[in-house]
Amino acid sequence: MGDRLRYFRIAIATALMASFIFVLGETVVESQRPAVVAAAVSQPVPELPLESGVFRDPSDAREYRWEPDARNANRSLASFYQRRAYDGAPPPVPHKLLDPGSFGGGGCLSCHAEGGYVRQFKAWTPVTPHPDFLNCLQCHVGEQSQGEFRGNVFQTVRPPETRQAPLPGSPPPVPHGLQMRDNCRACHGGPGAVGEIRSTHPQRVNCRQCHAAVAAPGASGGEFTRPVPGGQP
Amino acid sequence: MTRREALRSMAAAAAVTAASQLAPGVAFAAGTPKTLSAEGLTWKKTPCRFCGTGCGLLIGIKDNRAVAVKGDPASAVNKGLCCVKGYHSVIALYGKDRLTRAYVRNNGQLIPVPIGEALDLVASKLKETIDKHGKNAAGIYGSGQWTIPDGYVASKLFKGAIGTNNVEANARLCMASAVTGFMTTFGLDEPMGCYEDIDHADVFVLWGNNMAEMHPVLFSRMLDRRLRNAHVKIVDLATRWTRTSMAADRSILFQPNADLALANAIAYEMIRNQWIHRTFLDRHVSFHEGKTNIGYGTQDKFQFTDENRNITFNEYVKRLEEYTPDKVEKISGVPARDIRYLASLYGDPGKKVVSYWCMGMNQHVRGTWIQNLVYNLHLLTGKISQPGNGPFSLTGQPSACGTVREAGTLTHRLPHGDVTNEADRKMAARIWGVPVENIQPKPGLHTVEMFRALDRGDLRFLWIQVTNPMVTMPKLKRYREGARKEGRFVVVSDVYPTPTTDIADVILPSAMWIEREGMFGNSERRTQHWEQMLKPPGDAMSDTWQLIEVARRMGLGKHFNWTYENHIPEIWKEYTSFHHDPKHEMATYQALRENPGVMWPCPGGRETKWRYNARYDPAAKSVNGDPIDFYGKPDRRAWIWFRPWEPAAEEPDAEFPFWLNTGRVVEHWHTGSMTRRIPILHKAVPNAYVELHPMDARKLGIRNGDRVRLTSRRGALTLPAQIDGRGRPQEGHVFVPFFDEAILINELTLDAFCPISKQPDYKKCAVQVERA
Repeated sequence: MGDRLRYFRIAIATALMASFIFVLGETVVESQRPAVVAAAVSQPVPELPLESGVFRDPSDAREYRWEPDARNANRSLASFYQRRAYDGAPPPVPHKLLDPGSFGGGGCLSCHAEGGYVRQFKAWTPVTPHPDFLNCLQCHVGEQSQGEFRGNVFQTVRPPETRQAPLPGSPPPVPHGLQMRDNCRACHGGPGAVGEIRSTHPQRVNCRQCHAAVAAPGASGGEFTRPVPGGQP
Repeated sequence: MTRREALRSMAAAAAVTAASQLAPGVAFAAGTPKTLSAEGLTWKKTPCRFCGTGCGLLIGIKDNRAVAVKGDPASAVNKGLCCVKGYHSVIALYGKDRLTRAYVRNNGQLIPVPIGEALDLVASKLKETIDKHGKNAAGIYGSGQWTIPDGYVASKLFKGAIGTNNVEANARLCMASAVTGFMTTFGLDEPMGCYEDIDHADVFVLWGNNMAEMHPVLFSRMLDRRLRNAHVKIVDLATRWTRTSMAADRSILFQPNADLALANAIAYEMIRNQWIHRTFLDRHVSFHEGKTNIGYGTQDKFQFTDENRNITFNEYVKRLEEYTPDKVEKISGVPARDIRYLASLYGDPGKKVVSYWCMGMNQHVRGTWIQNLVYNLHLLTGKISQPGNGPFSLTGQPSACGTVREAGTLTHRLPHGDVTNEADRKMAARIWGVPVENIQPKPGLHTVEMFRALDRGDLRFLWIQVTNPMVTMPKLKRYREGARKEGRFVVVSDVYPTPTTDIADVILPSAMWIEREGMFGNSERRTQHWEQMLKPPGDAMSDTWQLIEVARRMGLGKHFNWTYENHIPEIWKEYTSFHHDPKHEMATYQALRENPGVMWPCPGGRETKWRYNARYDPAAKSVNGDPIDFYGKPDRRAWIWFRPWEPAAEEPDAEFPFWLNTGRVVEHWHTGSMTRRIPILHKAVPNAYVELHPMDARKLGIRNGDRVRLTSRRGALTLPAQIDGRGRPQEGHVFVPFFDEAILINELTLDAFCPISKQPDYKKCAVQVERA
């Protein structure tokens, strides 16, 4: 009788301990769950020929030099577009809101203004291209569930293609609109950048000196023509 | 597809295949189909489908599909920024359960029928009802989501051609108090100022208005103003801590209904300190009082008419003595020093002040009074009708102003003026080409009374367009059961199935937003036009055209003698002929097509940004260099009303010890019938919940996510708890958003309303809270 009780007690204690370890483990796992959507392997970024000595780096280039090599970025172009309803749509917040009572502002910008590595999420923080807009949660909403209410058949168009350089080796034009994203370095520079579109030379601050913004799709474009004098074609 | 496009799509498909092989298990841009190239994408302007802010959007259209949205940088409203609803608005067109066919109820079942057959039935039932029970047994109930042509045609058909004033709109539940507030103080509806005030003001006082979530684009504009001007202050006055409180420089919480006392105490304190503008008061203001103890309208057929008594400034001051900061501290829970601080902001002649409000002051059993009292603060200090100075009533629906207030789709209104006014009736009869006797001189049923009449059987035929009253009516059970009674015929025009289509005898599928041409009018008197960009799905038809089709079937076609191609410009021409005077002049059709929006009055094509000020408003007359002219009232003065504090219709007691407040979240708009079908928004807030103060939760043993049972005298509901989420009610209060048709909080709310505006109070009733 006494033995039985003892075994019973030991069994209970073991079960309790096991469940405690399980719960603790789950909590740790949960807290370390990465904040980002599964990354695709980004394609290797072809390097331009070494530029050192061609230009003197601006003073803030130091920041880039000190950054660890983050070539294996956790953001790929595919995941970038997957997180957006269409090219240009605001993506939702992929992590738990640190303070759901907040409207955004400093709480969001403490990471998303400058970027950097966040150990909790094992990720390089994406940088916002529009840090002046402070009511962040007006556009970037959290995710509480994964289901849909009734299903939806919305379709969008393909996002613009990259590497549309008109000549081999010439600087490619900007293939997307610049509204709300006229700070190029947010997506194209630094370790939080999207892999395929990371600039090899983010310190060359004056991006649009070389990368012209092409007209947005739908703008009347076409080739430049003008009537020939004398009316001859 | 051109050869180049074909090659590109082949290349893209190959790339996706290759990439999928490189990284198995990763979905490559699942939302982006392989076939739609961006080539040939065109962008067209429209106001946003959702709230009353009226953001300008550019919609990307490709192959008869809306594929993308940009904020319109040319719009003076939002200057290129949207909120999450606006950016994803086009996705609401593509819900899988979109209504594309008409349905008719047969033996309790809704059976799909060709739309012509359904329209035949609607016309014959409407005729039959009028023959059997009289004109006033029929009615139409729309909303501020009606386009201006929808509302105008509904009003012309029912008030003019048929001859009943039973024309109402969801706007009664939304901004009727704003209308009566404007009418009683200024004699003319709609704000004197505009959104540009944000760019000039030094202080923003938000009265019961969670702008960070409900008018986020304007809130962002305000934050931007503060970011660039360190002296700018935002003060949040509310009954619940919200994201707005968090963003504000100062958050002041008060007890429900005590805003009446608070506004009076600010006035008292300003007068005591001589922080008022005496010359302005002498020249432009007169003093008045009305009835007190005016009731709550909870009984059927409740009637109320206010009386005006002129009083002197000294009598007004005498009445304010009941409202010293110390006395009001006891009523409102706001420390006297905070009241003095508010008075110092309103009263500082060096500070430009804008007051904003929306549902907190509108959905209020003394809604008209609180509007009067906030106007008083601006009138006492002369801070009105100038850039950066003024009270501003925000709206919740995209065309609450344009369709309901300007085109006149409330029971007592006409496109110009009131049914009770003979000259206004004559004008309407002339323009509509109907005998003047057709237009009844007595208002019909206001919204709450309309649904009560349906329950009683006084109303037999109700056509509901573009709104969802079986989610939004307070004390919902009575009105749902009433609508379902034998001998009632309910027609519902909508784009998705809702709890309201559940009670319908006929469902008509509507063309939504950019699937038809239309106009909306926003909060700042701005009219905005959009063209038809898409073909409506299936049999779907615009609400305007449904009304015209029914009118034709009733033999009333001669009043609607337009073609599909020209009906919108023709309606606009006819409608604006009501407004050919400098106080109301509307933009021409051509101007609307060419601009992202035009503010009225715009005599000679010139917009008026600040009314009642001769520097900006051609209708105002300057006297001896003083440009202010409140021309809306016969005495050409704005009226300061003394209004007392009175308690809410129902207050917490031992049995029902909590205040229940209801409202919205940024992700969902109105009843969520559109926004819940947008995946990103549904994922963000998939269901309703009840917010509790953490201390109350602890006392009741409720933790985050626990099921909680709320009970009021009207009904009970079980829903999950949210503690320290995005909002925090005060102790003894709970808050529930109303968008969720599976968690209908309006089963619990009370149908008490402001006796002057007849707008129900959704912000105050008493409930019991327990762990389920």
